Amino acid sequence: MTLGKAPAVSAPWEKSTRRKETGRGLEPDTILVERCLTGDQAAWAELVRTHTRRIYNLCYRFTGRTQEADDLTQDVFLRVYKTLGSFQGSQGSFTTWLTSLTRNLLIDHYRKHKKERADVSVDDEDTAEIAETNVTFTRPDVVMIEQEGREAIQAAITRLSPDLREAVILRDMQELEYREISIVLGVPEGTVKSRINRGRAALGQILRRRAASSGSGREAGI
Amino acid sequence: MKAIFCNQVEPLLCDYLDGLLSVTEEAELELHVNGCTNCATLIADMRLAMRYAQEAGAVDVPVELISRILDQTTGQAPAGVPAWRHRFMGWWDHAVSPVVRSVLEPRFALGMAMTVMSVSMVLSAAGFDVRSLELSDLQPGNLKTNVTRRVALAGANVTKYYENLRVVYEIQTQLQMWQNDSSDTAAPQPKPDDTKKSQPDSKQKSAPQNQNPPQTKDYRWSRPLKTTATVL
Repeated sequence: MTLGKAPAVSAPWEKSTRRKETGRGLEPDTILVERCLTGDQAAWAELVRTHTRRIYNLCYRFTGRTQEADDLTQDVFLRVYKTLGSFQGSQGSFTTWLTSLTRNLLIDHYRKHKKERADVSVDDEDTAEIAETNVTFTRPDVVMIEQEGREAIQAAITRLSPDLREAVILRDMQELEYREISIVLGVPEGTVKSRINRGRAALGQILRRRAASSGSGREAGI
Repeated sequence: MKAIFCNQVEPLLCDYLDGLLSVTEEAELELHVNGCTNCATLIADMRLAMRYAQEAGAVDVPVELISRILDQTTGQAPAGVPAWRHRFMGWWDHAVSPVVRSVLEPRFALGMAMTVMSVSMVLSAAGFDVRSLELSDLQPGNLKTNVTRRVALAGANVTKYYENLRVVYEIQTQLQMWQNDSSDTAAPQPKPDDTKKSQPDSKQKSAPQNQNPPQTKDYRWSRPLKTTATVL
């Protein structure tokens, strides 16, 4: 993605009339944001360095593709750069605000490319079907090696529907609190927990089926 | 301790897996799970998913991603990156990298390979030897002379090859024979008087023709006649 360079000293949010006093009790990110709002380029660089890894991982886990994660991460920070003046520390942490912004971009991206992808998402009906056809419990975690496990979890996550996928990623991979996830997704905490439960169950069933099929394949000499 | 049912398990699962249930609630839930295969499987699946998700870890961020973000926003090099390197990477990303990427595509490489092969075949067919090329050959005058000479030689070679083809050879010979036969048949017989009168002249004129065939096509194709007769 190539965009025109912004002027070196004229960030959109520098003209914002909102100015807060930086002081004690504020989160480090909020202090950085305040410094950015005063035109401190080093603070912006620090903010980018602090959050790039987390945002990139969130994008990668959601899309399952490194190139798309790369582009989306750049898009996220470009949007943050343009809208940093709208961040209000009193309404939540910067991490939550940033994650919410990222989530909106991811959903937009998902909708835009929905037709291009094979429709292999696991929705509630698929989950019920899986639950009916697999009633025996195995221990695939003993069979799978670590690398296979990483590939398996990513492949399984991308099969979840976006609602369940984002809930599981935010909770089990990004380790956000239920309250933060609720703010990010804009739904009550009860709904968040329900989605997490269903997402984990679907994910576990996919992993178990995959492990069972690969285990039977090995036994059959495939 | 009260008994709970399957439809009461789901709301407790998050807190149960996080270890946030009270001792009583946890005991009630485990009592149900121990006697319910479906709920036991459900919880096992959820634990499995949580374990895999936590063990997946974080993926590495591309090296230049932060630099690209800062370049696209502030246009400045991030701290710790020398200015010259930042400028070079910017120049590389915008000017060189797209060209390199397009050159490294298999389609482009295949096209270039085909072009080189075609040029080498044409040069080889024209008798051009790259190894014998000298700097003086590249001067405009020498270049023009060499090209003209190569074209003339190539034309001569093609002509020679064509004329040496057996089919062409036979056809032209046959045509020549037919032409000679028709000219002999169409020629009027001279009268006796005229023959006498014109005998000295005809001798003078015809003798050279019989003795010395003209250095034209007729003479050139007179040799193949013998060859054809021998072959036949």
